[in-house]
Amino acid sequence: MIFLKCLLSHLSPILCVVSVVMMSATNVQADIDAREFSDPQKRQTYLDLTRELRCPKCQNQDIADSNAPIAQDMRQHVQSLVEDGKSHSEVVDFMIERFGEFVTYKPRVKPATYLLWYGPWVLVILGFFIILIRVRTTPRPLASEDENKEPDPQEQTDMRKINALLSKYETLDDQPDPNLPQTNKDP
Amino acid sequence: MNKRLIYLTPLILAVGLGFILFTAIGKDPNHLETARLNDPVPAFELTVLADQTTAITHDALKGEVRLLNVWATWCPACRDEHPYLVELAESGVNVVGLNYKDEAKAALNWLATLGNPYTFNIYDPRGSLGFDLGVYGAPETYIIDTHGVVRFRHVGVVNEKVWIEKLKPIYESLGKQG
Repeated sequence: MIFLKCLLSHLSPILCVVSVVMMSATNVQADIDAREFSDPQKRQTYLDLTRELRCPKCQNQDIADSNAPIAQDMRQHVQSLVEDGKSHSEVVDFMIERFGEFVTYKPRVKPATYLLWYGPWVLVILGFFIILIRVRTTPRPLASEDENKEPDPQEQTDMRKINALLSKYETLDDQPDPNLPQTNKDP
Repeated sequence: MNKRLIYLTPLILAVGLGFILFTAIGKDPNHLETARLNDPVPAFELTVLADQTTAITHDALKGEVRLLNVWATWCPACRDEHPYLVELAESGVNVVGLNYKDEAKAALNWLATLGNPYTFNIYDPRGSLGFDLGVYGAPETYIIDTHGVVRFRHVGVVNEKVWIEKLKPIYESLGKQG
């Protein structure tokens, strides 16, 4: 409409296009956030709340992000409550009273959510104790660092056997295996 | 024995988790709890749709078991369920309306042309009662008991299936309690 009116007036068409585009751009800005607050602290509380409260209609968006009518209403209420001097948690409680626990991305700490809030810490502490107990009860590896210790006679005989076997195979390696096909080394 | 138990733990955990996830299959993730369930309808002071000089308060929702239907002319699903609401009203079900964020003229016109199933309509042009009730879209239908307490909420269209399976049993059991 504005565009047509503009064309009918004496402005050049290019100027019309530019001005209409610019006007629509400022409109978009206004839709997202054109709220005024009496002090910057309240503004910050408002911004925090709109990112923490969840839109019931479009379930994976916070109300700052959603343009569903209910999210707009909720933003409006958040603003007026914050301006009335309500605290962060009072506003969250106000919304939970109406829309249920679902409405906050940060569930309140209460018996039903203890598992959620404290469960991970319990698991970490439990894991720590399991590791501690295992380390204490499993026998330490052989103390081979102790070089002054008398060699174990059993160990000595084992080592002799191993060396004997190794040397046997080393001499075998030098001779060609009769079972393998001969390769012609000379071209 | 003890060691075997330790090795079995991951399997037991996996089966347990699998069971929990399996039971959640087919559940509607859009279904929300009703925060106002078993609470009285929030206090309000509004007017009647038919006559905006007549005040109406939460006391009007006491004394009888009622269906409170949240509707608006801008809501296509409301038009969808409207004939069934008329049918319910004709069979004797007490239906009242909450005209939500609507224009009175359009709403009255709607009732004149499509039929009026409502014993009365609460006119809530700014959606304030709707907000306090936790309405997040239309249509929604609540069952209100004789003390004006919310006993059930259905989000979405009311049709024969919803009425018979969900609403009717609660509506009738509340009616018997008196």
